[in-house]
Amino acid sequence: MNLDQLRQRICALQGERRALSARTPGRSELQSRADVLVDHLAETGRRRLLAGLQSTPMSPLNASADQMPVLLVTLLGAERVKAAFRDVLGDVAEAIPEPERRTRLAEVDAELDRLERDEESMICRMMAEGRQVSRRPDARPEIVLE
Amino acid sequence: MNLDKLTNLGDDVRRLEAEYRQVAERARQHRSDVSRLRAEQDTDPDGPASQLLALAPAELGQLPEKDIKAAGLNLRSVQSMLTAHRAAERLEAERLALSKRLQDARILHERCLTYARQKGAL
Repeated sequence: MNLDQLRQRICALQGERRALSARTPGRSELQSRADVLVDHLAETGRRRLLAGLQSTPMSPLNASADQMPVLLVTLLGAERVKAAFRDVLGDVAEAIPEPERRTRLAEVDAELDRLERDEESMICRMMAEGRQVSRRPDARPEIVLE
Repeated sequence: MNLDKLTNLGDDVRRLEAEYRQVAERARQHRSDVSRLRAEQDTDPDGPASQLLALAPAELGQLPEKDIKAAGLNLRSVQSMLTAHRAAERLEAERLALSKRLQDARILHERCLTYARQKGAL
């Protein structure tokens, strides 16, 4: 592997590490949260709609702009809204299970350590040969100064 | 901890700073040459020569020599101006690349200094 290839691999692993560390929720978790939200909106809307139907004069569809989502979910029906959300969330990947995430994180860290050390050795060799080469600004000091 | 490397990183920053200053100065000199050569052309402000000199250097460089001469411009002077302009552009690109390298070198040096201090090596 030459220096450019090493750096490309390091960059890819750093990106993977960020994604693994961020622990973004996966499709199922987002779907569960969306379901809870929709159920809440539907229940709130049902009560408001009922109150509007029982009021004098009858005003079931009177709603301010911020109450529109509640009304919309109630009128369309919770299941239909949940299905629409599921459709959108179909683009989101499933989260990696926690044990697998930790294992992969450890693998990424180990590979990063090895590659960054290889990179530093390669830079030192190239400099010794009189070649002009720059270090990455995000190179780890503990490796550079090793 | 290898403190020699820390010294080398500092040296790199200083070397790049010197190189940057040199390239910036050379680019400035070439730009100044372009302005001087342009000003030296004795042209009527409303004449065709002024119109040609108002063109972007890339466009001026595309004109046939006979058009430049016909407009009353000194061909050799125009060629010198275009050469100086190209040199200024090349040096400007070099200056920008150096600026990025210098910034990266400063960042890494600073991070390594902080690390060495935190570890009590300085």
